Amino acid sequence: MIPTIPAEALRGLDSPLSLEEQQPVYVDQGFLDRSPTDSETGPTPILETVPQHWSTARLEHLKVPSNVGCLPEDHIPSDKLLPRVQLSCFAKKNMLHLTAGHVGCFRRALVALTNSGARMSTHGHHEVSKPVDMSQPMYWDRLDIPLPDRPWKDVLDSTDKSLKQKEKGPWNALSNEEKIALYRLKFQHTYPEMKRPSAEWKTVIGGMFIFFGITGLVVIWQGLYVYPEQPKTFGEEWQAKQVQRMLDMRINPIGGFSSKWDYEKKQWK
Amino acid sequence: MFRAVVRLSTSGVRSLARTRPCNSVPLASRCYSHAKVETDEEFDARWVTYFSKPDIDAWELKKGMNTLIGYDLVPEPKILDSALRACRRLNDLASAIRILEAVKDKSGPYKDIYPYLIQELQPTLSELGISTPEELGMDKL
Repeated sequence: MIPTIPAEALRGLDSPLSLEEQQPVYVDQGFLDRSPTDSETGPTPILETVPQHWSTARLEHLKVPSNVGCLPEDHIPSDKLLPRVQLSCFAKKNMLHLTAGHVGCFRRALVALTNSGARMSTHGHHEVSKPVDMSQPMYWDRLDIPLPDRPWKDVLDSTDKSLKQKEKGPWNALSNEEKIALYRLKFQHTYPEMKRPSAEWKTVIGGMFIFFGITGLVVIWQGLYVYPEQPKTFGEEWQAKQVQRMLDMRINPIGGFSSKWDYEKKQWK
Repeated sequence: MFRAVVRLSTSGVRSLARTRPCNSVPLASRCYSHAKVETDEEFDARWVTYFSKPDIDAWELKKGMNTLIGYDLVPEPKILDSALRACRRLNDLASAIRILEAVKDKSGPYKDIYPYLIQELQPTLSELGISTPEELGMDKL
């Protein structure tokens, strides 16, 4: 069928209204959801309304399920997941994951990152490494960032919650232990703990010396087993004969080699 | 006041940051921009106003403190007072203690800045009930 311009669309051309005043009319003739073998019963319009703007158009038929793009394991119901600590639901839904096993230095961040950070640290590393959700605010102890994006302990049990309630009242009523507990809820390390010296330098220096030692052993072995025999010209006797020959030839007699030899006294000057 | 210690570097950095590129500059002179340099009092006032916002939220407190600690200076007691009161409005004692730790760290090798700050802030600390890290034993490992 040759598409013809429907009469409704041509309506505006003879209209007394100006072009701006005319409403554009879209009559969908249903080409997209009709196969060529459909009988010619006329157009079956889908959208016989004022055309929609692309930004607000109803696109239910195009909606993508929200778990598309996540890891395959997100399609598995949570009770069938591998025996490991369950992630919170919003961590699972988020698209952005980082498999912490591949990034060794993020293992500490992995421990810090999960919601009940303090509790996670007691779980051993025998579990399958879970993806760290990098799209969520992270906790990080830094000297120049005193207030991190997230408190250390997000998941509060009942004692923590009651303490938090007490925090809303006058702080003079809190005991020192309670104040320390509130601090520990929000932060992992105090500033002195952040600045604590580590024994890493011993590892570094020790490792350096170990490598020097191994290299030294390699060099010694090389000298014994790899290098060929020294040429005979290096020997003491040969060198002595060589020196005598050079003196006999008067090598550099004015300012050089032979000038240093006293030929009368037969000794070096 | 504490910025007198690093004023030269601060102002040097500020003017360098705003300098427009000058191609033919004789060696002796410097290309300062014509923007007005903020005085210490204006800086302090601006930060006091920031933290004094009655309905400040946790994010703004965080952002303000992290930015302030990022500067090359130790904040004046009045700015810290305003920040501690903001912590009180947000019912956040832990952040208040953290702020005190942070300014102690900011003082670096100048060990007499922190006692001065605590001395100046003592009325506020007693009024709000904020203990210093020393009182809680948190200044030691």
